Amino acid sequence: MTIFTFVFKRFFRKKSNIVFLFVLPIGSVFIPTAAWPPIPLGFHYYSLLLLLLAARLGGITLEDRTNKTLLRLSASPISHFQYLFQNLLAYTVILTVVNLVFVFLGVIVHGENLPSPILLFIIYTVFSMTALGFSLAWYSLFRHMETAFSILGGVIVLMGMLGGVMWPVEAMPEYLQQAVMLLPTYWAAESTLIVAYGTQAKDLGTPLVVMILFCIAFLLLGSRRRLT
Amino acid sequence: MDYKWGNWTSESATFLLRLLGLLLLCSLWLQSSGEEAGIILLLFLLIMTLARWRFQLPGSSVLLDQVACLFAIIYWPLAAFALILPVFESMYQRKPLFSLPTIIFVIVYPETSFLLVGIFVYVACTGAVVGGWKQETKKHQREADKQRRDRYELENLKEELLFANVQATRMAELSERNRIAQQLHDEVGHELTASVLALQAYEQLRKEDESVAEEMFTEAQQRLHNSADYLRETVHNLKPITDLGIDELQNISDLYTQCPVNFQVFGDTSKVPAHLWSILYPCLKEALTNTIRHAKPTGIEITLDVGPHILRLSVYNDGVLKENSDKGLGIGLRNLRHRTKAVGGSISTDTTDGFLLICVLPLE
Amino acid sequence: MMLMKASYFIFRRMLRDYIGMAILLLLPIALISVLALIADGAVSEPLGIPMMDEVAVTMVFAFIMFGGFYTMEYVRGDLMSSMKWRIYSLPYGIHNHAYAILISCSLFNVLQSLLVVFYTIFVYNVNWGNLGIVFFIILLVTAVIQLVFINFVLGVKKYKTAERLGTGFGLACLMLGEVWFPLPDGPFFSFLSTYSNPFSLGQNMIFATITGENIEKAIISLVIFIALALVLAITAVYFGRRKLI
Repeated sequence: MTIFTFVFKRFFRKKSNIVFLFVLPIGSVFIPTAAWPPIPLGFHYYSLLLLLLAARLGGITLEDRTNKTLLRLSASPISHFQYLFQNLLAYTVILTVVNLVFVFLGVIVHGENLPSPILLFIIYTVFSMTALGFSLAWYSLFRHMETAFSILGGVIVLMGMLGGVMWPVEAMPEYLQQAVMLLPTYWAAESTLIVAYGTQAKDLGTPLVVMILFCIAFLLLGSRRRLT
Repeated sequence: MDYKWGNWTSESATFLLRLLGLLLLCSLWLQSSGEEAGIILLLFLLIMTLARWRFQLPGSSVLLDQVACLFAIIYWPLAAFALILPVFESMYQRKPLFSLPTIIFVIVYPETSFLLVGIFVYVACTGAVVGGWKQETKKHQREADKQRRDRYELENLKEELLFANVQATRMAELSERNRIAQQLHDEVGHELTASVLALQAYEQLRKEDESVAEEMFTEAQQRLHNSADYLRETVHNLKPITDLGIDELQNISDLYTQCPVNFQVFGDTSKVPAHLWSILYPCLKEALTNTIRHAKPTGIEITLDVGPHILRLSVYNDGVLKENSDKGLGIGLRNLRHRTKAVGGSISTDTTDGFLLICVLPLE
Repeated sequence: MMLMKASYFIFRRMLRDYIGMAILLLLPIALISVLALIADGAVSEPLGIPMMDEVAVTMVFAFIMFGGFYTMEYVRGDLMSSMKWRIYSLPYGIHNHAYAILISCSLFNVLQSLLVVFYTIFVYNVNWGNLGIVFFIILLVTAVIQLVFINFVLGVKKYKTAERLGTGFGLACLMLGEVWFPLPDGPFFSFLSTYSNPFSLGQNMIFATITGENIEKAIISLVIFIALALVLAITAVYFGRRKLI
């Protein structure tokens, strides 16, 4: 598990990463509940934050590719699968810890106003995997970190807007309401809404399955080995 | 962008067709109210397609797709159209039996429309064609690889043969030298020694004025006579029937009668080993043949320089090139170039003014 | 003459830079289109103009705030990397090249902003008022932003820091311009949100041209802008003399 431990070392060596990883989620815990949805706003926006954090984490793979670390790895007795698996595992662990801290803080700050924190934690964990897959697939399309990251920022905001994170999907025209179901953010928003409105837990099944399916598709797309 | 149709491979066609199928399904889903069952099915099919693109899935995996589609039909009737993907895949992999569930479904399903059947048939045909294309390409690639390997082997063999040629010449020279030495030693040597001894005896006997002296002298004479015969015989055996060396070159140039030929030799040609002569003859012949074929010269100059380390044969004619004579090297010259390369030499031609061929070979 | 030629070629280089185009031209168009989906017909309260118009103005100016990255990139690429030795060896003043970068980046940014403006006019029928004045305002704001960014890149030792400063500057402008959330009430904050940053200054002027009200606010903004431009130009020359020799 050398790569696994190394991800932590590499990621936390940069102070800005630590700030990025914890300041944004902790800051968003304190955003109060607005008119919509019936849940503290930070918990609804959190899926966008997860996408951003995953993008920050997934950048390591692109960095490996641009400075030829991946090329050198391919000459070592480590399979590409091992490399990807350990990287993704480390990212998932980091994001899960952040999720845990986030939900825990949420319980302390909002108390009773936060419905079923356990379900929220499950949703965030599943969506963080989807987000990691998305960032992996996204970075496999690019060659330069800066470019990929700056375009991704715009894409995430757009996905959030269309996916019903910024405002309810019902505010949008009829024909778009079905089309945006093709965005992973829609399902994240949908699942938090299900929790917020206190519907039965078994309704959560479909969004979670769809998110997992998205995750697999993204992983298949992003796990292609590109050395240049 | 400069797009070439030649860049189209069966892989890109497959990729495009799969993508097209998924996009069409997606738009179908957008048109209907497929809701959640539809999107799960779409994602599942997307995953299967991606997996097929990334890995080599077994043919039976299309059964999984079909099961998923058949399940989804319960919630979303239009999912019947999603069966086009597994049908395409099974035909693409040349395993039509795996699309049996779809065929059964078409027969059993009460709402089978003509459109649905038509689409299935069409997709099956497309899959079969693209699959065939892929197999054909693979076959041709394999064939091309095989031929390439054969060619490399042949080239290797040729090189080895040329090397063996040089080796054989050397071996022949050595064995011949051996034979000559043996013959000289066995026959001529012994006779000469015997005659020397006889002459010494004769000298002694003559001083003592013995009558046997005369006899001894005759014997010595006889022996000398014999050894002269042996020597002549040995030398005669050594000499080949055809002309070798410089004479043969002279011969070749004499046989050329189209225009005056000026043949000049510098240096000691006896130093040239036999295997080099075997290159020089065809070289000269080739140059002269080329001259007949491609130019109308007024005179040809042939020069053979034998230096201490290299040998240089130049053939020059002043005739202009005839029209439509191709510039590339002919087979003859290419072969010669190979042979000269094998002994470490080179052949170069120059056509700027008349035709000049220079063959340089190293001497050991 | 040389200045014109160099500007022209930098302009052509920028036309080929599809990533910059994607971020500064396609992204605002996409965002405006998405926002238009929900904004339809609503009227913005305090100003009395359609919501769509406000969205369009906000988006155009928000993206102008980040347009200075062009200048930054080109100053770094041409004058601060190994390319600089090639340019130093030319019979061509280094300050000329810096001016050329400034001019062409400003023009390019203006062009991109105008494209977005035309898009909103033709697709969403946004009323921008007098287009000549709009052009002038955009030109002014863009020039100031480019000057700000050139100051960053020339005044800071490490490029990475300058880049972060640029991002921070843009985000701070948007925050002070009350794009994301309203600032608290009070005279200090209202002054901060009206005159403290190029984003709100530009917005002031544009809203004045659209509505014809608050003209004095617009004129104050204009004066601040011109003063800002002069100060920034002088500091840019000062930093440039220290850095580019």
